Amino acid sequence: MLTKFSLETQILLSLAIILAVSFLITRITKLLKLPNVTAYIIAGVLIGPAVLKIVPSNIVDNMGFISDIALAFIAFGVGKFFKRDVLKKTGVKVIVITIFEAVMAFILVTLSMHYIFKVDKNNNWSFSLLIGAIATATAPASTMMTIKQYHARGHFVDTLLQVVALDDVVCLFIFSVASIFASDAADKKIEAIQIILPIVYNLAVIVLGFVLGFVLNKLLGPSRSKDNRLIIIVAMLLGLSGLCGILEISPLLGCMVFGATYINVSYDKELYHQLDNFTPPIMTLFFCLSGMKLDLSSLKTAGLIGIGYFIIRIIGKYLGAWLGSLTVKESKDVQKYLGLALIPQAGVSIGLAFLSERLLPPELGATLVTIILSSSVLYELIGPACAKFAIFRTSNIDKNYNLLKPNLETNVNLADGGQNIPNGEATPISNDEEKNETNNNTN
Amino acid sequence: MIFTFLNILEGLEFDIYYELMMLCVLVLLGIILGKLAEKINIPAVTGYIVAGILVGPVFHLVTEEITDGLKIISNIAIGFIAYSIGMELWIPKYKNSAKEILIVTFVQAIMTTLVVFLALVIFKQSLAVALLLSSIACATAPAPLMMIIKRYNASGKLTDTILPVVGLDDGVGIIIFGVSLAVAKALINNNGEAINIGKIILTPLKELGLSIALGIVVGLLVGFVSNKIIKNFAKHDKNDTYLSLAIVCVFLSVTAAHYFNLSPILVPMVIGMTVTNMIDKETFKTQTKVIDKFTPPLMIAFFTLAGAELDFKILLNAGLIGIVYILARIIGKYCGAYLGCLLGGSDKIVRNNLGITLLPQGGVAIGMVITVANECGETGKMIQTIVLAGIFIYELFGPVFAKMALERTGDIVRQKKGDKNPPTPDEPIPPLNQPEDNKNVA
Repeated sequence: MLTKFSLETQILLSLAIILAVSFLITRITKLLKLPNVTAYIIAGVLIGPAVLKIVPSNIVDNMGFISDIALAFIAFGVGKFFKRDVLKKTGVKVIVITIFEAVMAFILVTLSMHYIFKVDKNNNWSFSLLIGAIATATAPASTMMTIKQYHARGHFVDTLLQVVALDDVVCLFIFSVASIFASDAADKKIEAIQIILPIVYNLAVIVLGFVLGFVLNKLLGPSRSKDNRLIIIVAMLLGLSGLCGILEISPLLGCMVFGATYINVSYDKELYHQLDNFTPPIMTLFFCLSGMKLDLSSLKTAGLIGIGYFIIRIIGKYLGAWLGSLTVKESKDVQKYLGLALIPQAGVSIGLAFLSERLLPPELGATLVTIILSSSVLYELIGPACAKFAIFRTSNIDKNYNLLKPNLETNVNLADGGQNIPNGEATPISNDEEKNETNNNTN
Repeated sequence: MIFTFLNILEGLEFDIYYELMMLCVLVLLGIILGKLAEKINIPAVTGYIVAGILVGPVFHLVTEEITDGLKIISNIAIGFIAYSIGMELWIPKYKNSAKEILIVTFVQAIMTTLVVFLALVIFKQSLAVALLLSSIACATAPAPLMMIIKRYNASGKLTDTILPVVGLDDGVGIIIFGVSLAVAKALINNNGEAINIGKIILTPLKELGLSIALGIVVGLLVGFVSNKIIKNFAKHDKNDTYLSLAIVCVFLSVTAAHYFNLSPILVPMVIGMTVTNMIDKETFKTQTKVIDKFTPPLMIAFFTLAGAELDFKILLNAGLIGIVYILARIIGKYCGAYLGCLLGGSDKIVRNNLGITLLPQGGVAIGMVITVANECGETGKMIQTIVLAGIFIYELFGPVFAKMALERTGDIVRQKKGDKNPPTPDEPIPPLNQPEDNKNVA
């Protein structure tokens, strides 16, 4: 529909339409009590190439970099949850839980693919191994956004975020091992370097993120104006995601380490709040674009195996998370609901699917890609809702938060950092986090 | 080593990621030079532009391809600036000074055109060239002015005059330029065609009218939605929605302006102006705050990119005519503003300083000169050289003078040493001790 315009016009118009339609659909999901992320994804499916074709597919393809930028912002924001004392409290437990949930999903999916669906021929395990490895991947972005939208806090959220972050590492590791076995079995050899390089790059970016955390702390000295602080952090995140894009890896890990290092050296939460004011439109664009990339037509062709994969992965994740948290004696909440929040899957899994396609015979390769693509449609649609359910059930959400009406923005004495909230207000402010919030909005 | 690394990167096809990294370099360097500039009492804007010049034409880290790829950022930034200017134009505030501002705007524009035209004719330029150059000369760039006013929280009579004048100037400029372009084209082609005066005047008037009409229609819609719907949302939801709304407005008006050949400044400005006159004070405060928190990275990207596009060599090519043009515009702007203020009955302090603040020139003039280059062949190329040389000078030094003028009138209060972030009515928090506070809380 827009193709008659010049490229720049197309881009700007598409962006405007995306923001407008996304907003309209959040009004509907609000009524249905679904998280905003779901609205954005549905908006993407609707106006994207799949249904109404308002936004042309060449635009969608060209906007890939927005996903990288958005992921960088999300990951940096999540870094704020990784304070030293929190990590100390949960560290080992989280590692165990993550390994459990990842390995469980891997084993269940691999075995069921091999023995129930019998996709592998001649006792060759390649397909099952690869799809099992892909099953371990989770897409943290939508879970993180949902947490943010509801301002959820507490032990469950801390654990969840750390598991999700670590999951990326474990998934890459399992996939590398699986692909080595698979490429031994398959006739096609994949060069070792193709598997090792991403790991090396990821490690390098993690180190870089760590260093940048200190650099940022130096750059944002006390005399920086607010605007300049925002500009510096945005520029650094753009640079880091640009670098990751060039290296063809996800900016997630690097930026998360960046954010975690910064909060631990500076204790400066204000910066994360400033970013919260900057990023909403980028997030909307990101999730809407991922909605546009979802390939609805693959749903029809995925068939029984697709449904099998979809369900078994959920079971694997849930069982694994439950077993893992039982082993380390985590709280009941975590045992019961962690698995639910690990359902979303997109980005990484799709990338890995295309990588495995090259390892498999053409027919099987195509099947695998179809399965992953179609299940990611479903996962992305139900994932945020499940995450919201899990978060609400663990009662970390400040239920009053969304009732905060503008009339509560009274004059907080700003000089004292917003600590003296006037009395007589029904301020549902429970921690310093929220105080800063009020502080921000009154100045 | 860095250079080899970059060379390797250039060979690969990761255009957009490379652009992102370069943008990061540009912006960080911009911040550094902006700080340095402020140390020697020059506005940060100049530092940003110099950073762009260093990265672009001097060291060639950023090539023309990259600046072209990032052009979209500049267009968006101009849209936001125009929208913010519009948001400041609350009619009741200007009730008493409306006549004065209109007179000042017209007189300074016409004076500038006249002075530049005469100077060029004296230096034996053809009528067509003189006409085109003089009409481009009256264009001013609102962006650096807006940036300085916001950065230093300028307030006072001069500030109150500058904003509407630069805004309206674009409207007057469109008409003067449109008429001149038509006449000049007739002069250049000179094939005996009778000049159709009606058509000459009608085309720019149509552009102006459509820009304003579109702005008002969209503005009414946005104002209505802000008042009736968004106002009732919960706090966070409201902020996010206002931001989305402003972005959608700016994007739509920029595209509409490009597509229908309307003014990319007037359309968003009129939208902002319509909106600001419909909403109440609280909504206005929330909206400007939300936009102000979103735009700083865009603005610095805009100025550094503008710097990266400037080209030294053009200065040499412009020659004597270039110098005449540059000086004549300065004289024209100053005398025009002086005369305008005299006729309009402005304060003496505004009268003496307004002209100096109107010197910056940028995007609008580039847009005009591109039209000229496309439509007037050889003559157009020569005009392009001169205008670009002028922009180089004005963009670099204009903000410096503007800040000086604003300091002289007391609109900008000179900061004491060590107090880099003077508390302002809008933001009473000294960010100085902010991190400390957080530390204690944590």
